[in-house]
Amino acid sequence: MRNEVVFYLNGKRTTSTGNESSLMLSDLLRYERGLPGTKVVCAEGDCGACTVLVSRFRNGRLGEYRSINSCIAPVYSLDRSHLITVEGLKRADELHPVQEAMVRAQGSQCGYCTPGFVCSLAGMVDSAKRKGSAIDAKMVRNHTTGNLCRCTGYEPILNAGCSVDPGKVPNLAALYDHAPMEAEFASLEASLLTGTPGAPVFLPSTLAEALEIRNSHPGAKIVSGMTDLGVLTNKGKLAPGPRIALHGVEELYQWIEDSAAFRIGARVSLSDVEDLLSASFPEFSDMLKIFASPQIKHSATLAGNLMNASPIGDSTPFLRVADVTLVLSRIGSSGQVEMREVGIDAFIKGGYKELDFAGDEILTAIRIPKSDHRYALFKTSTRKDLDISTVAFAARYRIREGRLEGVRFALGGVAASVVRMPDEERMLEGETIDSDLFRRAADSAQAHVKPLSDVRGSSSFRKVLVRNLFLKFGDRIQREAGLPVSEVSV
Amino acid sequence: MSIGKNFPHDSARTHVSGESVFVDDRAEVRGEVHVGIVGTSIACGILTEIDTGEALRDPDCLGVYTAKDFHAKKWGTIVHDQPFLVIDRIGYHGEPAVLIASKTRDAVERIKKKVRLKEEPLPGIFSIDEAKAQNAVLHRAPSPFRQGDPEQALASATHRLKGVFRVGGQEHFYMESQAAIAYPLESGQVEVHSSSQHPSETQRVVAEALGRSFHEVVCVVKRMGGGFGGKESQAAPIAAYAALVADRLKRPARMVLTKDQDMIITGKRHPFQNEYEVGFDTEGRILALKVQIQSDGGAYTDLSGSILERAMFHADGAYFIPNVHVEGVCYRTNHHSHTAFRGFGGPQGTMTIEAILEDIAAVVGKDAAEVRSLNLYRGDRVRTPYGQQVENNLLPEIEKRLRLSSDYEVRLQKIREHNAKKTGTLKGISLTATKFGISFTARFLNQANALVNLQLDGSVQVSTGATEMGQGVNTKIAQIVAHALGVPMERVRVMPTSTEKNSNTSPTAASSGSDLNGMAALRAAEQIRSRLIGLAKLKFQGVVSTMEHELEVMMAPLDPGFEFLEGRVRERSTGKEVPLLELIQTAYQNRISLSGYEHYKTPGLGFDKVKVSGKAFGYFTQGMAVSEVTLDEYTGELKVDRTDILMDLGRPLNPGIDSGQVTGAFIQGMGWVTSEHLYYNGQHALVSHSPTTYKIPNVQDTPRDFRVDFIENDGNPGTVHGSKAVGEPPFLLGTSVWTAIKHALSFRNGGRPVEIVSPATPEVILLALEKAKGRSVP
Repeated sequence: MRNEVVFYLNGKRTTSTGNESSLMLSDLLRYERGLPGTKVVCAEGDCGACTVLVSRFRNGRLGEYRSINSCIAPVYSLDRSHLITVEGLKRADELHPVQEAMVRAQGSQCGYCTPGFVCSLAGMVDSAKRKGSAIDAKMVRNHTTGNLCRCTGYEPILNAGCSVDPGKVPNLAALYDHAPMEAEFASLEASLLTGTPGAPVFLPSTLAEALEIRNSHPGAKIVSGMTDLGVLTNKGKLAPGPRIALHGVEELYQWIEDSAAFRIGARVSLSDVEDLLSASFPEFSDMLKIFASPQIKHSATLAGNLMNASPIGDSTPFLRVADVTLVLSRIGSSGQVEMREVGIDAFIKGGYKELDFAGDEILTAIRIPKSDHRYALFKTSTRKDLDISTVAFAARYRIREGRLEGVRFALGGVAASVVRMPDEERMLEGETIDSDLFRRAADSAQAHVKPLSDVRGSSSFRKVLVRNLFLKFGDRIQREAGLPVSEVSV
Repeated sequence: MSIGKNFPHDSARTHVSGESVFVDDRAEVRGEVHVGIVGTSIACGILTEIDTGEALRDPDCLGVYTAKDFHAKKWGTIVHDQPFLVIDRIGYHGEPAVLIASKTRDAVERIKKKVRLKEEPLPGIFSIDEAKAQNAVLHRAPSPFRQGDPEQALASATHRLKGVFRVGGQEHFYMESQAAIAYPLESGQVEVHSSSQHPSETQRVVAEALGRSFHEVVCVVKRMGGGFGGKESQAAPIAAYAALVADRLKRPARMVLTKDQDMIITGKRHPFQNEYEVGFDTEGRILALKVQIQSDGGAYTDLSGSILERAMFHADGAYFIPNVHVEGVCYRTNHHSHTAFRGFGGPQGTMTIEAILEDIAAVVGKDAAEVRSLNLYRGDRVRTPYGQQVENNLLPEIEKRLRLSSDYEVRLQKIREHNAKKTGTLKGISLTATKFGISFTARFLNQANALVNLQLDGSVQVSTGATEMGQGVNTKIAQIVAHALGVPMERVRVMPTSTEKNSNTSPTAASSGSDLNGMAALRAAEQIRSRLIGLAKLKFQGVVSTMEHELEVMMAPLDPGFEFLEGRVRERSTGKEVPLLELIQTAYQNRISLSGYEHYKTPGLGFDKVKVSGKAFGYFTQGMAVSEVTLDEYTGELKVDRTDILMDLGRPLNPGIDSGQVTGAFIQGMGWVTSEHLYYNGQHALVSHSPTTYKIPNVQDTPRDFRVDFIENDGNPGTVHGSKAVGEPPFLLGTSVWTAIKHALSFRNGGRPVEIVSPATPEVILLALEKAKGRSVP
């Protein structure tokens, strides 16, 4: 097995092993590789000052450059990739067009968030070029949602972003010669063991290998997108220890669409999920737009969000009402990989972070059945974007001859886990649509939930939200059913 | 001509390329150690014992330090009441108690965990009400601001409103957390590189912490990754921590706070709770106002006294109040010691009157902009509660233009129509004003000095006491000097701020950085200019230097008959010219100084706080904003649809930089009154100590339609090139978003005033809506 993490940094080969390979990438850049342009402010992927651009080696080639938060990306997770930092965008003495635009538009004041914005904008321009889309303020906003600035009020940065003509910007892939990097990556042994004897990090290259390591190292923690575990590591809430990182497991990147379902591999990023499901589950795809920043969605996965088992979990309410099935793998007694499928209602057991998940298993895929149901997903938070929900609401339904069918509700942020609302589902199932019905369901839901008071809101606020989200849902359905809604019910 | 042009920020090119060096970007040098802070785990009580044994046994630990290691035990800007480290009494949760020195960055957290504190809790004070009940006063303003007969006018007024305006604190959230590196030099000297708005004070505090004379300490500030007031006083103890360790170990020491530590340890904008009684007529004209300004100062004094007074100075906002009584008290609580933050109390004062005006409008059934217009300083109604007249008053003109350009009346009508229907959204609009007093209210701070070095190749280095935190003060100073010496911008470099070049400087604060340091730099450049003019005159007279006769010039007042343009010096009357480079050579060959050093003090200031008389401010920076908001009636969520701002910045030195100050300040102000909520748990520990839980505005939160414009104003002759200070004044305009929320809510309360606190989070908005609709809160 290979023992050195190999990657390229602004076109230069670099390797890392031992303790260093478990550092967060931002620390490696700043303190070990002399590239302090990348800044760390929050160390939790919430401010974007640490943004860098990553192109990962998969299927024999380096893929498109995507922005990530380097403060929560361990060095080992960058194995076989090419990384462009803010220093690498400037070639010789010539600034990248995005950098020039920021200078011209007074897009930097104190300069501390600037490298992160520059990388996000460079990633945006690259993707706009790929898609052939023109840049407008909305696009700039969507690509810089994950970057906080305290000086400018964002206006000069929006102006800078909008002033870039993608046609005049070189492809990121053209800044550095990919051929020698790809050649080396192709020649490397795929599996990797790095870290330290006390805290080994396994990067298996197949699912079977991953499961075998899981059996032989039962205490090892499975890591993938690291957008939560990276935060816990930085904040001293996750002690160093053995890790099994799934980044190199090719099978887990698969997604399959057949006539009945989408089967989304555990390593498919949320940004890809957002694209994949945009036609079949537009409501969910739209919710993912405000779910997290581009940097987070480029790293985080649906599987990770579910396995993290947050009581809010933002995607979990949808997964609960959408009847998804989880595909769990383990090595059976015969030594073969065995798969087990479990419905999400059985999987989420109700206690805080309590899941039906055995120590020898790996969540391999999430199966989302296709259906002709509709969904209503509301995420409410103090700040619209880049904020954890105070209450997350999901509903599934179908209207047949004026009656509601297949009604499901799930709420996040009101209990120890994301909960279904069976009483309210029964109240609405098979009923004809009328505003009084929703009002009764809203009152019932409000009476049922017993949320906590915390930093995101008081119990009272959450209870009012629960009621109002049911009313919002009711008003929406009445409109969809073509019923006259002269006044909303809130 | 470099004045009035939109030059990019002088660090823009290195900011965007990642080459700008901040404190923690400095390369680690041989033997450097990392300093960590162990904080208390209770908010009030006694620290009885510190067990450092286990920490000292850690192989990476180089030392553990407590209060007794400091020469001076306490520091403070005015009152020396804040311990460097807890001595015995614990002032707030997370207060620094112990320092550890680690060989490596990685080991800091591990070593910290090995230090054990024994703490005995005592009951603390956690609100203004509790402090009031216990008479825990940090500072009381010596005299009230009083005009007319407010008691009599209140008694006879047709309408009276009595209430309490509550506004929360605010985390600075400068992106670069507090940081310092101290390098021990020979003979006990120390060089500190600090992220500080006040290098002179950092120098003094470090010297006192170590028991050295001030001349043994040099503080250098290259730049800050944001300051906003948070690094005015509170950068100093952080530098002292690094310096103490460096001095003890004789090794360079680096002290860099994480965002979480920074938010827990350092003070914030003061929360205020202002009690008022206002009397007005049926038109909404204010006849009398009595306000008790009350702030939560936290555990120690810091700058709380001056901040309280600035709140009192701004309790009138932009409005004339004929009979007025303003008094102020700052209370001591067991919170982090609150400190300077952009606006320095001004926002908390002005927001009170803006809230009152919103309510007055609801009571008299008029549009709030009409009521504001009625009360606006205009004509001869320009006397402030502290006696100063509002001179060069542009408020009426700004109001007239902004109402027109923002299409205020038409939009108000549309909003009324929209809110008459129940669509699930509720809209509001509001126009508020800022009239910000420019000058430190402590007169002695209104001074600056500058050093300008003209090099033999005609390039220039400038040093002042101003610190660059993003606001562009260095760019403006470079423009001023380039203009004075007639050289292109790229030939002027503003050097890192260092106490060995500029001593006894004031903090870069109170929006005064360019006013004070720009003027000092201009004068220093003019000193050189004056000598070169003397040489030009000699040249034009045909006087040449020889070994027998060396040229000499006398210091003379600047001769306006000469101009410095594009590398040439020209006599206006004759059109005779000489290249600047030739004059520089002549000066050098004739042993005439090519450096200028000058001092500047703002003339005419002198406010007596006890007698409440004299001039507190050199001038006022004025402006107004109109904001329109949409509330989601189901969730209380807020969207800012449009904001129009019109500012009077005199003749801006750099309109691009000034525009960025306006948009940045406004959004910061908007965050303060909407999403930025400081949440403390049952143990009185700050829980919202990172961006996951503390929400500053992001790019999606800014007004969808955001228009900023300046009004041209030549009536500010006393300042450098007729410019006006810009840093803080627009911060106050963020308030327009909050009053627009109040306006929107009033539509669901039968037009009656709706009482809300600030920040108006979705929770505040939704619960206010529920209450207005007569629903009980579950």
